Order: sequence, then C-alpha cells, then structure tokens
Amino acid sequence: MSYVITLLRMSVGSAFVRPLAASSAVVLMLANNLLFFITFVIYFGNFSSLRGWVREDLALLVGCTCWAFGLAVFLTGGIRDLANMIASGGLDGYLGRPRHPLPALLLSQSIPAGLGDMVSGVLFWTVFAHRHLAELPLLLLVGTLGAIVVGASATLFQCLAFWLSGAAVLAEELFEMFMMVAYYPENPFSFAVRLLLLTVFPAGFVAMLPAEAVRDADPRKLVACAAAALVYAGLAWLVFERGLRRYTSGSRIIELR
Amino acid sequence: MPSRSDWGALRAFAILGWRRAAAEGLATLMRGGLNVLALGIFWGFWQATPLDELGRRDLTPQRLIWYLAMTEWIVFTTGVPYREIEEDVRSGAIAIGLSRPLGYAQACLARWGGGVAFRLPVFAVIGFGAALALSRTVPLAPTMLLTGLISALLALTLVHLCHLMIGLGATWTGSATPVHWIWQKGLFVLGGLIIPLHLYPAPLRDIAELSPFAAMLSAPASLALDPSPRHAATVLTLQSVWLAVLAACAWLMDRAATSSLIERGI
Repeated sequence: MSYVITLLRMSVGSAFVRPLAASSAVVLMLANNLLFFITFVIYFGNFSSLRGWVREDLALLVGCTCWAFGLAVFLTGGIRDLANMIASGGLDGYLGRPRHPLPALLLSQSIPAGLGDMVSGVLFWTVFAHRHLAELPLLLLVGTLGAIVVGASATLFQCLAFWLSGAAVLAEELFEMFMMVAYYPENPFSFAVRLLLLTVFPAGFVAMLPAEAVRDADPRKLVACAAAALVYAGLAWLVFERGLRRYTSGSRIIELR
Repeated sequence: MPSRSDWGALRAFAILGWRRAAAEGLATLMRGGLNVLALGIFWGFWQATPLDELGRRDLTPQRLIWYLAMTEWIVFTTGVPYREIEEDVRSGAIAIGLSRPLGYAQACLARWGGGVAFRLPVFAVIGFGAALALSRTVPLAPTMLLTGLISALLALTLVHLCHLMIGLGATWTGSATPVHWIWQKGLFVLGGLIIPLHLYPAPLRDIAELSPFAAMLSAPASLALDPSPRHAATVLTLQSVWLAVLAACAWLMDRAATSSLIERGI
C-alpha cells in the first residue's frame, strides 16, 4: 500500500510541476463539461422527459461519468499510454523492478484535467441534479466504482497491443467510443443493447447503473456496481498477465543502463 | 496568387495528406464505427423523445437523424488536425516547415485538404448508409444533393481554418488542447451538433445563429430539415461571409505566429 501511495504522490506531484498549465487545464475541463451539459438543458427546455428521465437525472448521470473518468485519469493517467509502452518496449524498465509492473504503469502519470472532471462531477450532482449533501458519500462511492470500471476497461483496450501491432490508435478509439456511450442516457435502448453495455462493452457500469442505483435507491444495483468493479479489475489484471507472457523485450534496458 | 511552383507544391502536400489518410485504415474504420454508434444512440434517443410536444409535424426522428448524420459527417471527416501543428511546435519540427518556400499554413491546409478528399466519401458512405438503414428515408431531393455537398465543403473549409488558428495558438501557449476543448464544445453547442438551432431558446438561438459555428454545422445540416432553394441560398451566403472573415483571421494569425517564431524562436 505504501508503494502505491508513493507512486501516487510522485505522479500527482509531477502533474503540478507547471502549476499554471495544470490549473488552467482543470478550469477549462470544468468549463468544457458545463458547456457540454447545455445540450441537455436545451433538450429538456423543449421536452418534458426522456422515457421518465428528467434534467436532474441526466445531471446525475453526467456527474457520475465526469467523476469516474476524472478520477481514473487523475490517479491512473498511465492507462492512456499503456499500448504505446508495450509497443515501444517501454515495459522493460518496469519489468526489472521487484514489484508487479501494472500498478507502476498505471500510476506513471497523472492528468491534471481529470481534477476538473471530478469537480464537475460534484457540481453536477449537487447543483444540477439537486442531490442532498448527505448523499455525497454514496455518490462518491458509485462514482469511484465507475472509475474502477473505466480504468479496467482502458487497460483491457490498451492490452490489445500485446496481440496486435499498431493497437495504440485502436485502443484510443475504443476508449473514446466507450466514454461517449457512458455520457448518454441508455434508458431509451432495448434490453439487448443494455445487456451489451453491461457485459462486453461495460460502459453501463460507469454511469447508467451507478446513477440508477442512486436515483432508485436500489441496494441491489449498488452491489452490482461493486461486483462489476471487482470483476473487470480482475479481468484487466488477468489479461495483462496473459499479455506479459507474449511480451518481447524492446531492449530498452540497455538505454536505461 | 500562388505561382506555378506553389501549385505544384500544394498538389504534392494534398497527395501526401490523401496517402496518410488512406494509410490510417483501422483508425478510419474505428471512427466509422463510432459514427454509426453515435447515430444508433441518437436514433433511440429521438424515438424515445416526445416530439409531439413541439406541435410541429416537420420534426420527425427520421429528419432529425439525417440532420445528425450531416453534422457528424463534418465532425468525423475533420478529425483533430490542429494536433499536427501543436506537435510541430512542441517538437520544433515547425522550423523545417518555415524554411520551405511554401508557407507553413498553406502546406498544412493543402495536406488537410488531401485527407478530407479521402475521408469525405468514406464517412458519407458509412454515416449516410447508417442513417438510411435506421430511418429508411432520404430527406434531401436529388436536385439538392449538389447544394448539400457544396455547403459541406464550405463548412469543412471553415472548420479547418479554425483548426489552423487553434494549432498556431500553440506558438504562444505551448499547448493548444485546452483551447480546442472550449472551441469544440462551442462548435457542438452553438453549431447545433445534436439539436437543431431553431429548438434553442430565443437569446441562445440568436447568439448561435450569429456565430461562425452555425455556418460550420447547423447550416449544411439544416438542409435535411428545410431543403427549399431559398433556404439553400441563405445557407451558402452565410457560409461565404464567414469564409471571408475566417480566412482573413487565419492569414493574420499565420503572419503573427511566423513573426513570433522567427523573432523569438520556438
């Protein structure tokens, strides 16, 4: 645990080496999310509901997505760079360490704009979704479970680089697709689509199910979110392990020496 | 006026852009998938929307999905070209671009034009194919297809001029990404990416219609909602005015960025 905390302290510290650039990224990401939400404000200005969902429910959902994505990239920004590291032989330096390489890889960088997303998440929940402050611990819990699913899914996409050449672009596109789906309400969709979003492409666990767990005060949905976080994190770990067996050194250790 | 050798260089850069776009086969396919997914999401979205609350017969899920297919066509064809300039500034490669006889901005626009020439028909087939499969209608009369294409090309020129300016902004700020986020959300909201501008509340609609963003997305896409020749003429006039304004801004910004790089260095 102290190893993880040390890695975290170092990556977050390095993200704020240029405080002005980092702070402006935080503020601009916050503005970016607020601008995005205007589309839903306009939508609900014209229409009463979307299959029973109103503006406050959408704010709850967008807040969950913002918190999950923000927390994932702020703490484990290395998830966006894993495929490049695998393809370029950058894993060599991590494989030489006495600890498992995955935590160090994920915690290798922190993206400060993620903090802007996290602030947006809290703002969406408390101001636009009119959620009471007493609900904040529950919201932070479901949002954090969503963040684990974001991190695990990104790791799974990036691990494609173990099997496919030029997978970095593919992984990035898959991740963008994943996040795009998470930003929109899935309640208008059929059972088959919802099933897809809760299994092979688990964007439903990032915001849809967490938002429904809070909205419907349903403990079963909360348990499902926690179980999904565990299952996908375990799956990401397993796939990374399998991938490592295929990994061929890029001889970067010579550069290190 | 570019000289004959300049035209040759512009052509070479356009071919380079085409070849690079053609080499991104998997990424293009993935973006195509993303485009189809977005259309699928909003097909479900508009079908679940109580459109009858508006009391308008012209706004159907079929027309709205074609509106979105048009806006998405422009967004997906463009990609994020400003990153090339940002990377050139960051790596110092812009110095090589500045030493060429052809202007750096002209070379960028020619290269991007080549990429657009490749992606435009690809995303038209993917996006419009998906819209057709979902809605089983084509809202644009065959005689208006040419107008739609001209309007889309004007919109793409406007969007690329903005990307050029955003990228050149990295000369002063180092990173153009935060500016791009804001510009992109401005494009999505004021350009009417998802919701047509005439559904916006009065003050915001007026602001959006007066902004250049409307000429980039909403103007060509509105042809799917109102394919009348009168509306088409208004759209093309609006886009031509913004083309003149943004081209002048891009020219001034290019001069300022070039002077700054020559005097101050990278």
